Amino acid sequence: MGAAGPGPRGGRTGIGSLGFRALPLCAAAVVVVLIALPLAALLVQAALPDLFAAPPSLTFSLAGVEGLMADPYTLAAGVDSLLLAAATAAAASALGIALAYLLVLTDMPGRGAVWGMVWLVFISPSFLLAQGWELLLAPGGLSASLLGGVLGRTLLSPWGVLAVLALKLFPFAVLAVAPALKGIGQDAVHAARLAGASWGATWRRVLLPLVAPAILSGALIVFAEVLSDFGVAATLAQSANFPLVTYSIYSALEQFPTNFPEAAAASLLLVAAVALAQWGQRTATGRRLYATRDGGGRSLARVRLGRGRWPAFAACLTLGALAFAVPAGTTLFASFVPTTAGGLSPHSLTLANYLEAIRVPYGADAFVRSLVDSLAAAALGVVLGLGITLAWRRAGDRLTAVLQGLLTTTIAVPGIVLGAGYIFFWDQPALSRVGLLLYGSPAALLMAYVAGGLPYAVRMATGAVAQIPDSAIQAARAAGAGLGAVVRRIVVPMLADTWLRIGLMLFAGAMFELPVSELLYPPGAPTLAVAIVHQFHNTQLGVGAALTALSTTGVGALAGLVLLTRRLARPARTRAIASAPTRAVEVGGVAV
Amino acid sequence: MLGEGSILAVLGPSGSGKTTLLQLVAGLLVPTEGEVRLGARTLSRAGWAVAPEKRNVGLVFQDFALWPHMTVAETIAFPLAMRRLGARARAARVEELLALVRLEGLGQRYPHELSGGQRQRVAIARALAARPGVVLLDEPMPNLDAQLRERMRLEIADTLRREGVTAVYVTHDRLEALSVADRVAILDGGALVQAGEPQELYRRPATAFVATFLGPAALVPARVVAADHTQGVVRIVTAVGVETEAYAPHDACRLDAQGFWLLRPEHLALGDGGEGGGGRLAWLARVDRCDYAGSHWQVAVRSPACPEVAVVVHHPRRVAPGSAVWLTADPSEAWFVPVPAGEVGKAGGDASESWADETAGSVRRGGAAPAGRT
Repeated sequence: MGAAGPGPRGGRTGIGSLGFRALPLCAAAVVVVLIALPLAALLVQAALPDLFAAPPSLTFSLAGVEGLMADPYTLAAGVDSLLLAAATAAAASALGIALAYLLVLTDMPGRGAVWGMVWLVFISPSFLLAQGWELLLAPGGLSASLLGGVLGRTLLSPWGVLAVLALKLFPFAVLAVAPALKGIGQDAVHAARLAGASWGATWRRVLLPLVAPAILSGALIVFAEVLSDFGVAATLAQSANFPLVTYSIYSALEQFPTNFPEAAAASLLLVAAVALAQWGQRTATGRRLYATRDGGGRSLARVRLGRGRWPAFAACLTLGALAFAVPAGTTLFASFVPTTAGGLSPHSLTLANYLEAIRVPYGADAFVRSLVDSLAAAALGVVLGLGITLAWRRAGDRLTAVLQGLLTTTIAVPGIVLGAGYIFFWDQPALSRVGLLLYGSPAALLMAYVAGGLPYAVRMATGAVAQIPDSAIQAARAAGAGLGAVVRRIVVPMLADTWLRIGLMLFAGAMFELPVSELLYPPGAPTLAVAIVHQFHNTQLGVGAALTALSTTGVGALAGLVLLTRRLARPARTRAIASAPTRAVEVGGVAV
Repeated sequence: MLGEGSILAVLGPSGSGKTTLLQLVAGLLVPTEGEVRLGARTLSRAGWAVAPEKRNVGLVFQDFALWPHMTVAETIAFPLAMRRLGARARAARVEELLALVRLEGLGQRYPHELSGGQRQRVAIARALAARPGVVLLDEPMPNLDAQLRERMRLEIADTLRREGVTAVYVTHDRLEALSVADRVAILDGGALVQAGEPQELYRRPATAFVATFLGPAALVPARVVAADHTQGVVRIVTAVGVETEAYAPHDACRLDAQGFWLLRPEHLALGDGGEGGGGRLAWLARVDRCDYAGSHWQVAVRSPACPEVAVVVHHPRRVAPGSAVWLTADPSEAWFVPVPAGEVGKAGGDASESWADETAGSVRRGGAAPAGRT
């Protein structure tokens, strides 16, 4: 299935058809149009602010950067973001290491349920969890009504923001450290003990060094996620008067006239910081994420916790409650509570919020619009992800290598920066002459959704396609299958579960996507996430909570229905595909 | 060139180019020189190759390459679907192949529900489905256990012969190659060393490499002292002090040609009481080691005149290491393996000059001429 090229005793047989030769070019066009052009057009303004002026000018100027440094608000936002990211990384790592240890190396009961909790927190959109905490802690929130506001005064602060982010992001640390612990062979410990090392020395000198790269990897992922986060920055951090850099970019774009040079400068610095963290993460892990057991040795025997078994499980449940149940439960409860001028009034229950949520101009409409957009983004993302993966599978040219690097780097680009790029690029007057002035149209929003999810889709698709042995493709070709038949009859069905996972990931991501949606939603047609946030900003806390509850229930039910249908439709075939040996696939640098 | 309906085994150590050869025939690699032809049709030549899907070549992979999402029937029917065969004809052919490979009634099973041997049979059936011009088998046995491998080896050969297909069978297992194939080709370092019928290669190896690769062999340095080029017979003086007539390749039938006298365990015996007798060659040796091998003892002996060569003989009883024994050999199967010109120094060299001066008491010169060429 590769492009023709020299080999040791000959070259790979090229398919030879025009369609296949055009595939890498099409893949390049997609990446350039969706990602490269908008980003480049924005970021270049950090140094060439008049490049797109009339007339254009190549005057080099760091006015945008200087403006940032001179503005105490943005300077504070930058420093706050870096400190918050470092502190959250430490806190999330501590939680993640402890949880990973309990899950992988002890006989703690209910490990399945705890893993489920970890995944639930992992996939929950950060702004929804943050809003749950706002409903609890805000001056008009539930804690003010029920507990006199003491919780709010304590937790609606930078420390509260840190706590919420650590509770949201600790699953990254768990997912990084757990495989590393699992991969340690028992022989490594036995060798140390037989050489005279105590348990403490064994942990210090043997086990921790083996696991350290994974711990560092998890910490750096959390660091990057905090820097990129907009959900908490736009909600809880604002309420806590704790400016963060993603919100400062948003503010620069909401100014009139729009301060693109400052937005560009802030974006460039943010992307650089996140990219540095991601590079550090890749360097820390090298080629192997964790020490593997050689020669088929057994992993470490589980530690018996004895009387500590149930307290450990209770501690995990408490963590789960804080991370998910409290904000989700608060949201659910608040959805049944009337909102008065003073905020939530929990002394009676009502369904009025739900009726209002469906009825408000932007309630049900926003849900349906987002549903359609998300399904379209998911479908496009899967098709483009598969196409790009196949196009790049064997291509060795320089352009492909550059675009692969760009796509990988794009994972480091926060959604707010991507949205800013789209605002700038697709609003250029020159594009109106060719009918491509897309800013403010649903097309721009859809393209941005696809652009945001494409790096992950390609990464997952690449990992999945790599699992198909060459011999499976060669067997199909020897049996008479051309490229189309190979893709249709072998690649797509063999990896059906992967396409479903990618599709669901893109769907859920787009459904509750906030930063790009805030910047690009068409006038009068806000997305679901924007509609929810607007309800909160308009102090319609109960309605906002009801809209959140309805939409998350709807999305969860839809995803569950799809998964159930798949399982029930051809159970034998589903089992057969699941039985094929697989390797770990990464999402955002974490093995899943 | 491979005859229609015959099985060619391509044999060689790892890295000798067996799989590369198969991939060239299958069209998965483009050759830099040479041609691949199937009948009158050229499939590949330097820098160009017909795509694999257009070649009508069946391929059985080492890892079977079954598709986990297809049932046995769907897998076997796949090549027929690619050739747009009608549903009824496809179903009939699938049933025929299921019967051929003895998988009747298992058509609806998935690969993970099959044993290793069953998966291999599915892979073979798929390769045979579209009645290909040639079937290529790339080391189809390594993933099976030893007992199953032995059974499947014969089953594969029977299946291929029943279908009357031409097959190229790649393996590094000499026993597989010798038992399955009509012809064997030996590869080493990407080059074809020798090709021919299995018996021919085993009894008349062209090089020392082929001799040792195809079975246990001792190679005693030897030198030609008389040659009959027309008969392909030479008279050799060996490093163990024995002089005998032997068959040899025509290009080795020249005076002073250097090479080896090929000794295989089945042609050797430990003599009773010291004499060869019955026309057998005999010489004195000392037992180096004696290892039990179930049906016999493997006795390794070294001649004082040529201590660097250990000769292995199968004996029904144990012989104590260090014992002096008479080693006898059947001269009728004697074969002289020539050494390529560039490696002459390794064929005994100066040692050959001293053979004739060795103690005569340790030598019994046999006299029987080799039997007519077989």
